Amino acid sequence: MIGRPIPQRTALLCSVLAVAAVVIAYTVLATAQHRKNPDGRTIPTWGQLWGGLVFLCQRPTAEADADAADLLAAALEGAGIREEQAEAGQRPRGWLQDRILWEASKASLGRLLGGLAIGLGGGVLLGLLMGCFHKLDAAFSPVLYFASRIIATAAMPIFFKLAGIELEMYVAMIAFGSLPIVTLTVSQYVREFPEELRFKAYTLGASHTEVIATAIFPCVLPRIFDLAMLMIGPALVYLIAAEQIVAGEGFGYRIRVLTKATRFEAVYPLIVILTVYAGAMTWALRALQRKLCPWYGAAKR
Amino acid sequence: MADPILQISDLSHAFGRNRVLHNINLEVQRGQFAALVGPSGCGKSTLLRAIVGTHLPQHGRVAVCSAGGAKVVEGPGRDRGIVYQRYSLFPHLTALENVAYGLMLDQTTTTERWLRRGRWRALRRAHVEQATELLQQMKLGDALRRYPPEMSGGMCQRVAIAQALIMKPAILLLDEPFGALDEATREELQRVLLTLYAEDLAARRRQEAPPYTVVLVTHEINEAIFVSDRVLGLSQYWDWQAAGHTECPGATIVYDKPAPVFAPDDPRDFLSFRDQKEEILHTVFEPSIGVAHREYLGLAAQASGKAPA
Repeated sequence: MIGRPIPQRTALLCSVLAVAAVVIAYTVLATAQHRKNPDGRTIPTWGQLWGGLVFLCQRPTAEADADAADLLAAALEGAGIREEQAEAGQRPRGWLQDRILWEASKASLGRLLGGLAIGLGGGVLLGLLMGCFHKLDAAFSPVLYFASRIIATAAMPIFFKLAGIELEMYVAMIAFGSLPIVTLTVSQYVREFPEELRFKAYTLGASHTEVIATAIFPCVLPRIFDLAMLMIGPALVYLIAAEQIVAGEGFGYRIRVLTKATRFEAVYPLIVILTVYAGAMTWALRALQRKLCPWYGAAKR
Repeated sequence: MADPILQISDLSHAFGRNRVLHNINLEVQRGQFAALVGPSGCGKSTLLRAIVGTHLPQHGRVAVCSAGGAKVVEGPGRDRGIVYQRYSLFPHLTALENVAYGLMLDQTTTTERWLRRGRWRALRRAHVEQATELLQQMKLGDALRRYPPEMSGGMCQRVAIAQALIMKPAILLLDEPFGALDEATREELQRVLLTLYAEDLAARRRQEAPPYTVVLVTHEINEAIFVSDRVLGLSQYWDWQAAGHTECPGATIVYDKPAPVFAPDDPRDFLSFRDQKEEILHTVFEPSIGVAHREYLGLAAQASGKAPA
């Protein structure tokens, strides 16, 4: 029967078996590939993957990575300068500093969170106002609808030209890519707020501001969290695409240079780690949703 | 002595070319429990919304009377409490918070709550005490911390009634509040209304102003007669041709008579008012009726002498 519940043990067993099947399939594939070409790294073995992960946790050096020396030159140069400064006592070097994974994470996550903060924050505020006041909705909807249909990755050259290739460009691109959709979606959530509850708030003495702040916004907040979780994926697409083209640091940049050097044993862990970051952000948003919106769980049940 | 709380004068309303209400004249006295019945789509909810102030009428006026005089309704206000059939509670608030919500809005502003935290905390404690006491009177002492999805329909409607009553509105409006509930829960909530009416009677005996005035919209004629002391019939089936109209100008009050008063513990003996029920069915719901309704407008005639034009 469709929808019949299963015991938690059975669900766990199914999940474990599925993951095991994927792991076994990959192992078979990698082993077969390795037999054909022992030096090949396109489908790395588990041992090669571990080596790639260790490489990402290190600071780049010419000796350790001769194949990619030319591609990592800029990073080496930067690391070399910082090492000299550390030795000269001008700038203490932290344990994480200059390690490939740490620098890439700092760059990419900073851009992502900056862009999402503006896109989500601005979108929620404008969406609330548009949902509450029809004049604002009539004024902004056509422009936002058009903007939401623009493919942000196709418009990247315009962002490069207008905003440069530094942090501001990434933030602007992610914000532009997410704000119209967030605004239109939140305004729709607000319009779905039952008018009976709105009237009731007025009869209980609420002003317009209090209707928005104490009735409408708390009711749509859980769905805003759901929307934020959904926006992480598209924002990462814009970010990685841009980093692969123009960045000098970040996950997109690292994936590009390591792919060019056919260091797939380092590329795969980068992709997995990026996915883990996205998963962690989703988990954090869900935990915050549960904390701030305890009624939402009751409503779903 | 006449002590009107609600005065509706020459109220008419249309939605585009669809004329819904025609020349409604109505006065509700303080302490009355008036039940409004009528055929589906005749405009009962439209009339109620005109009183609430969310949908102002195109013609005529609605006024709520207080110590300061009659104030024309220009929008929703805290002198009119409302309980709807659906969406009666804010889903993000517990039962206790829902009932205390109005007190918070009425006695503080958002700025005060943020900038004068000490005063707000003291006020909040008082609000919670008041709300707890009222919910305990509604036999909801165990449900204070529950959210609306965790409560039954009957519990939600009791909380909604408490939410409206704690504001001490001049008039409480109920828009088919028990329509979505089972029979047993309906009976329980009807007894809640009878308890409020009993408090009105007790206040009158003490020579005090009765605290509750209610207008209840309902489809159930038995319920209308059982819980109210006055039944109003709104209907589009009246002799509008005799009044000179070429097409129906909208529904108007065609029935206005007192109803028997019951105590909260009285049995629900619907047979005892069977004749009145038949009279209402014939007068208000019969499409073929085309006679003048003057004989059925006893209370309206007493109040103002006005009748449908």
